Amino acid sequence: MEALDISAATLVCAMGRGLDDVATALRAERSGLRLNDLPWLDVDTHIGRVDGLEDLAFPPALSKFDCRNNRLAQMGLETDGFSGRVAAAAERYGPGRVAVVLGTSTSGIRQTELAYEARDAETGALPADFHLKETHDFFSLADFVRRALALTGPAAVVSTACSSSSRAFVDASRLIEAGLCDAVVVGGVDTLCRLTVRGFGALELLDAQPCRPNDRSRSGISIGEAAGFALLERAGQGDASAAPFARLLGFGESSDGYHMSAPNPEGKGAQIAMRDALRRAGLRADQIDYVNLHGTGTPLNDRAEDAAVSAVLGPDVPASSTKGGTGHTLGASGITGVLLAGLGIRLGFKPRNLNLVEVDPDFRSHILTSTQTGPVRHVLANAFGFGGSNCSVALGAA
Amino acid sequence: MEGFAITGIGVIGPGFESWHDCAGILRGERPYEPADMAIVAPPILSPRERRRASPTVRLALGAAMQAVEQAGQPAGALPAVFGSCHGEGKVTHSLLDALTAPEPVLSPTQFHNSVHNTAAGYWTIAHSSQLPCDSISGGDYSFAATLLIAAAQVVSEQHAMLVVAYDAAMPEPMNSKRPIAGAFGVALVLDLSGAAGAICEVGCASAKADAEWAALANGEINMLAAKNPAARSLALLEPIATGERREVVLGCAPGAFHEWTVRPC
Repeated sequence: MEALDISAATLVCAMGRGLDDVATALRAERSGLRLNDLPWLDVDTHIGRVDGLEDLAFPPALSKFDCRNNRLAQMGLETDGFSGRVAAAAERYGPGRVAVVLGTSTSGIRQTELAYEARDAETGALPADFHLKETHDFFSLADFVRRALALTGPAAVVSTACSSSSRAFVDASRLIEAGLCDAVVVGGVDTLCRLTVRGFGALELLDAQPCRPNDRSRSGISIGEAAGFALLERAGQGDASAAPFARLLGFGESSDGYHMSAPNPEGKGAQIAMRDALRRAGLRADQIDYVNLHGTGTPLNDRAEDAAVSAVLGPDVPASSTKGGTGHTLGASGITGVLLAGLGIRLGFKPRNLNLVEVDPDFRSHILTSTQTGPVRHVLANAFGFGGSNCSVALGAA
Repeated sequence: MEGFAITGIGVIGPGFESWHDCAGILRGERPYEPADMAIVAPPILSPRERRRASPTVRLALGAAMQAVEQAGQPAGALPAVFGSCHGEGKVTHSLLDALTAPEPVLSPTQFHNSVHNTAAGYWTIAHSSQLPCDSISGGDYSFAATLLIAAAQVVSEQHAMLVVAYDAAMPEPMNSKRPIAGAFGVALVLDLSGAAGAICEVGCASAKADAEWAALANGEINMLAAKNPAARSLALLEPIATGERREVVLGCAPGAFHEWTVRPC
């Protein structure tokens, strides 16, 4: 495929606000997980919470869009100079030539949870000041970001559960390749809400401790929240005065066609996604220096991914899950993994698998138990979601 | 953008259960009589999945089956893009309602069936398909946004695609806040321009416009398009039904428009 540059990027998650902050925490092997301290969440679990959302100054002109998810989106846009880089691209190409493709699994549903608690006792009606379309709608996220950035190009929200924001890179690449736009704001935002945390609780997939992906005693996930954004442009076409973050070399996507919430045990769909990403990137398995695993911490997911990674890449390619630091950020987990892997290329390191005491002895892939430093040229970032939706993204240096 | 062909169409909506039904009404051969349709779960689902399939999943898969059958494609042989404003509104409402209990207990099955890509997931599971299956929301613009994403894939990957757009009213109290009327599902099989068996060829170019969708000749059908995001597809289906060449403008997001040129074959 035609190589595209991620010419600018930003990430806000439990490990930090901004790429430098997150990279510092990652290299220091410092987890952002904490025991739930959100009074309304009422579940004993560890969370990857982003501080400061409650006090954020939300754009008054867009007050109908005000909800936890769009607050985190706004914080992301304000971080790493991202909105300024988009404004420069809109100036160069025209605001109608910049598309917005973002992933989310639940958008602003926290606002609907509050509205349901405040239903009229007699009529059951939702409160008058609740704006369902501007907060609850999946599209609310893209609508808000387009308005905040004054963009008028095509837009879409991708919602394939936990692979949403990896797929956003795929759909965005094709919009550019088809000539429908010149640049795309790609990203993903998901925030803590009761429905998701209690839903994973009902599936018995929440770890009582901070999640321990790939550990022999792992027992589930810790849920986090994150906003990640990337500005995608044709390679070499971005702002000449600023070095691109990384180059998007390829992607692969597949379905399990197996079960709504359990992975194919051999990771067959995941294998297809990784092989397809390698093929598009024109890379052999031995040219991959690091894999950011989906690695959620559930017994079945991690085992299936290990089977897939070892089948496609063999036993030697260093791989780690970073969800012990960020939590599982669901619809934002794809871009979170892509940007963390990209930081490894930029800064020359491969992060260790966080919260890992002892690698599952049945695993055949090379799970990193210590952080490695040195050149990182090509990486893969995996994301797999409910509905059997798989996506793998290949990055290199710009 | 390069053009593409449409080789199969499926439609389920208030008062019609197939593209054949819908096309007759769009041609004015008989009056439009809106009626709620009983939408049965397609037989491609296993008995257990048929029981679990929500009304929106049935709607989406029903339309999808019609389109692939007309295109003469084996079901599950195409990469797919599903699109819907709210996805699983009924299941989502049920979970939100359960959360208001003093000690909430959520159904694990309902939870994993609440994701936006539930219909997409059921489609791939029904066929044990490992082909990519995307799930898009464009709010009120979901049909055009989904079509644009799929068309870009046909053009850039040079392969045929299944596109499915479906929307239904959410349960109260949500529907009063954001009214969507009826249950409407549409599916199109897109193929490369010049493909054998094409019903029509379609071109796409960006455009400027004021209206979010091109108004339909039949006022009642136009009302349907006004009240259901997936039913905005009727603006594109009308010239296909009548067999006339026409430029149809659709918004794919607020203030972003494309002109879809329909050339019946």
